[in-house]
Amino acid sequence: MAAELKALFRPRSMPEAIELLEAHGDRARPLAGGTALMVGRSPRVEVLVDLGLLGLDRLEVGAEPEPGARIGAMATASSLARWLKGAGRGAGLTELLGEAAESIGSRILQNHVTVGGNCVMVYAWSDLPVALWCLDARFVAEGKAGSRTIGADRFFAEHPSHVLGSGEILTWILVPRPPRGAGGAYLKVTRNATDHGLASAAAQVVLGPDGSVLTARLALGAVRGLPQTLPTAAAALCGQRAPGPEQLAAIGRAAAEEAKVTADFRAGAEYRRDLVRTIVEDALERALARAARARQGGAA
Amino acid sequence: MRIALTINSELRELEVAPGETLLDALRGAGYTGVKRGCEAGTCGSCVVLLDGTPSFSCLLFAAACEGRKVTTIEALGAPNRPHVIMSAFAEEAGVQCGYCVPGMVLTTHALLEQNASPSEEEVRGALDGHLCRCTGYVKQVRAILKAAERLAEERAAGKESSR
Ligand SMILES: Cc1cc2nc3c(=O)[nH]c(=O)nc-3n(C[C@H](O)[C@H](O)[C@H](O)COP(=O)(O)OP(=O)(O)OC[C@H]3O[C@@H](n4cnc5c(N)ncnc54)[C@H](O)[C@@H]3O)c2cc1C
Ligand code: FES
Ligand code: FES
Repeated sequence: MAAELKALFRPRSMPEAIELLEAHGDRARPLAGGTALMVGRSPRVEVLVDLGLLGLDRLEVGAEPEPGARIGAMATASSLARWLKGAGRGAGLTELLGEAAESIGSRILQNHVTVGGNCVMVYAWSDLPVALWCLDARFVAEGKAGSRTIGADRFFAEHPSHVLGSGEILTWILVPRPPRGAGGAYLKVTRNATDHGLASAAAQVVLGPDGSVLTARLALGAVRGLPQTLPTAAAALCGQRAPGPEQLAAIGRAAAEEAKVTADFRAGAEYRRDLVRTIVEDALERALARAARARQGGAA
Repeated sequence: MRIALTINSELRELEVAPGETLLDALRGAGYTGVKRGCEAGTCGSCVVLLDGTPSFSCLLFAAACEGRKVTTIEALGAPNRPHVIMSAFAEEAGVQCGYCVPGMVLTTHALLEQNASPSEEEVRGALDGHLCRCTGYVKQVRAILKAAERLAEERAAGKESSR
């Protein structure tokens, strides 16, 4: 990128950042962790606008009426994971999101990658979009026309970089507080500790007082170019009371059937489909165990 | 463009191109302990500490590091006055060609600041961003556990003598 890049700006206010992006149009990009911008080196990008001085790295427990987590787009994956284990516990989120953050590349890479950058520049291997879609997060974007909030279904329906207008900045990610009796898990299969995933799955379930599944959400990553949700397989779990291994195996098979899967040099489509079957089953098993614990803990 | 940042506790001003990596800027300024490997965030040879946190200098725009504190291997020690971690690496044969070692020593330093007595598993986890083509890691893991022990002994001895 060294040769092509003509300027790197470090604005100290949001209006200034938006103005810089507007002024340079398609030649400019927001700079977050810089990992994709550095490795991707596009000759079309001549101007970078660093979002690092805008206070967007904050992590907050949302206040009523919007409880849950307010995640600044510039928070790094490692700071998110640390926060979720400490102060962020108050946001009531399940383990799912932290597990996804800790799945990204290597630990050192997690010090670079931002939540916003990971979500805007979605690749086949991206981890946080899978988790945040499963958690039905909302995405706040700011541009010249003001601020708007985009639901996960819309944000990830196509590539998020097309959902955002040019000059629009993703500022916050809002994760709703899961209801009582919720449990979640994120699982990823890789060839080694730091390679891109072959398949990943996020599962979130909510158990009612009698142990029956009130709601279930499933999302997949790494099995094709973009993440996806599996509404049909997830719906098949709803209403079941204390689902056991046989029921979960059936949901795994339904997930493998529903998933859109492509082949690449890492794995063939058939193998990936089989991975989907097993990791969905495993992620659900873990999520259900956690939900059951949350139920019991809450009742005590 | 001109940027000011702290390198190894010294305030420095550097002239950098907008697209220049921190890796290039540091090597250009004489900090050649920072090694160039993959330049894609996959090998760890370029690791420095950015405000104390292990970071790939090949993935950082130097211009965006204005005002930050950078620590390179030069700050920790030198062959004639090695840091405890460096000595442990040498003694345990955790150094062969040595190319991966500056980064690993810095990551180790950051790990031990946070966790004075890591388990073997924690050490292996902390090193997951570093590739070594020579040692097979076993000896480096041993070196890090030894360094942790020594530093703990030093701290204990320091407490004794200050009593
Ligand atoms: C070796 C390696 C391994 C990796 N492994 C994984 C992995 O296993 N899992 C995973 O999930 N990711 C992985 N990644 C990270 C992933 O590929 C991207 O590099 C990363 O998510 C980009 O985040 P960033 O903060 O560095 O964004 P940047 O590189 O700064 O930005 C990426 C793009 O998004 C835009 N952008 C960023 N933030 C905003 C914002 N707030 N508003 C509007 N636009 C914005 C930028 O303009 C740019 O176009 C890996 C990266 C590397 C280099
Ligand atoms: S040179 Fe930076 S990680 Fe390889
Ligand atoms: S000692 Fe040669 S690469 Fe590690």
